[in-house]
Amino acid sequence: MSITTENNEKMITLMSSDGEEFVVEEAVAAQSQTIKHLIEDGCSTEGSIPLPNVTGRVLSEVIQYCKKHSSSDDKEEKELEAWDAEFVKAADDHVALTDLMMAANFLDIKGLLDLVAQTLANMITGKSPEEVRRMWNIKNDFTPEEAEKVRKENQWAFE
Amino acid sequence: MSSSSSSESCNSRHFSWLMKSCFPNPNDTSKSLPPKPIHSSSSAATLSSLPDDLLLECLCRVPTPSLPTLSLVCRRWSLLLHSPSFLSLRRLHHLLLPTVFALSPPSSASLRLDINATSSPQWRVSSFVPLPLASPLDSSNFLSHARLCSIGPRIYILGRNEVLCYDTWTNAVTHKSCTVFPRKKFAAAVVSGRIYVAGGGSRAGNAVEEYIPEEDTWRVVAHAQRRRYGCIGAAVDGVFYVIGGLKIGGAPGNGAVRPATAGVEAYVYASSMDLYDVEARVWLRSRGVPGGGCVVAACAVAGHVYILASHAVDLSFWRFDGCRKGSGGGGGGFGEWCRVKSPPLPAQVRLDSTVRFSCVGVENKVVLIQVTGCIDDLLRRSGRSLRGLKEGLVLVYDTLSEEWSRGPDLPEVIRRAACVTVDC
Repeated sequence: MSITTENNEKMITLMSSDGEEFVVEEAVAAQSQTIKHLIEDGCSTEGSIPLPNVTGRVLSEVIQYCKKHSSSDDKEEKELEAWDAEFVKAADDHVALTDLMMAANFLDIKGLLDLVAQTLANMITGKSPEEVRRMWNIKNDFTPEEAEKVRKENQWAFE
Repeated sequence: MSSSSSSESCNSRHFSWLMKSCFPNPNDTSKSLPPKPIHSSSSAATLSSLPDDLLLECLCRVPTPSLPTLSLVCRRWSLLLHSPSFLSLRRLHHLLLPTVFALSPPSSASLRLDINATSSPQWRVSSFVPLPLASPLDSSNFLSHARLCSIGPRIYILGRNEVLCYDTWTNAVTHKSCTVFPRKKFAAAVVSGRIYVAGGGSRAGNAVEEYIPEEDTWRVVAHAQRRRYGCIGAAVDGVFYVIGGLKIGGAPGNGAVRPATAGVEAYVYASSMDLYDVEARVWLRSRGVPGGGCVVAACAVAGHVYILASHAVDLSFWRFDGCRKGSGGGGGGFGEWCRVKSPPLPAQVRLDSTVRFSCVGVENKVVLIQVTGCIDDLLRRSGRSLRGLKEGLVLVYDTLSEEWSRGPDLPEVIRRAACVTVDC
């Protein structure tokens, strides 16, 4: 069901895994290489495009990002960078960044993938192993002998 | 007919097709099993839920000083941080900092030299490597005869009966499996994350061995035509180069080789190299250094093998094009030799057992490091008294500007160092 707006922009309907529908301009949806290829292959003409592993909450963040990036051109790079920083900070409150990253990967939106990856990288930089484990709920699965070795190595690493 | 053609057009992109095949058919409600949504609940979110490739995308963006710590978080992170994919991603993001490490007995100090530093590069002692050997004498012997190879931040110290792995991130040293055959003064190089060794000792014969770090196993993968001793290894574009050295023994039952013939043969060995294509598992035609001479140092830099050959009266420095056709990037010149500017060493200096250089490639630079001997002594013996060329001389050849410059000398406490370049 592709609808056309008054300024002749083709609209695309995206459906999240939990059945939420999002109607967006084709240019916005095409920020995703995955969707762009689907459109080019003529697979979006009937009904909505189902995105079976992206929830509505995540998809709405993704669309926000795509809207901004489809309307800005390269000249506004500085402004866009600042916007990205704000966006990812706000997104962190609503959805898990890891989910956003998986969606960006699945939808093949390189800019968003880079942005989230860098944000996550910044979050683990300069943290002790224990801090990282606590923060991200990671199990320390080294054996006691390895842990002992790790402890020794730590002494060196933090000298 | 028309329907089949339309479906073909829809399949034009493999990925789209793959995607579509994952989509539930809207008309088929009976057996639709909804795929598990990524975003089940935000509270359960953890970096562990990311697949390897995405976790790597995050880890590869972390600044180098934080990496050692992260390798201690859990097994998976440690494995990922030491994987070849991690290295190639780092390279892609221009986050690798190639650094020369000099390991020196008996204190086993490791020194690092950041050759591309904006200010004048200096050697700095980074740590004392805790070699798990019985005595300082052992470590001294071990290090001065060992060959060094680096894979990522790890330096493999390949000794005759012992292989150690030194992790430059954590400064930990671990024992690894020994080579199948004991070897001394052999050729070693890394191709696609695996170590290859050849030559060095009559027991090793002509066997070429491969080391797989993930499995900690050595196996014989090929047999060389020539049995070399004192040879040098290098790797360019998937080819393992076994360069120079002396001939080991004679062919079986051929003990009565006339000394003159043996001399000629030895000369052939010293000035030639054997080329082993690691992926195709075949030997390519062996090459000889055009001017003959005796190869005293060699290393690989930016698609080329650089070779320093010693002649009766002087030194010559050669560049061998190792970029093969079909590998992209103008590989038309494979096998071409080109004589380049010799290092600024006094002509009287003959590189033999008294003065020895270690040669390592760092990005687009060849670094010659004098690891034994004293050039001044040699000069004095030949009646000269030129000062300033003592021990620990470091010369740097920039392959772009094709000029030599002098690097910072190795500190005086460092003797008989073994050198290697590490991507930190």
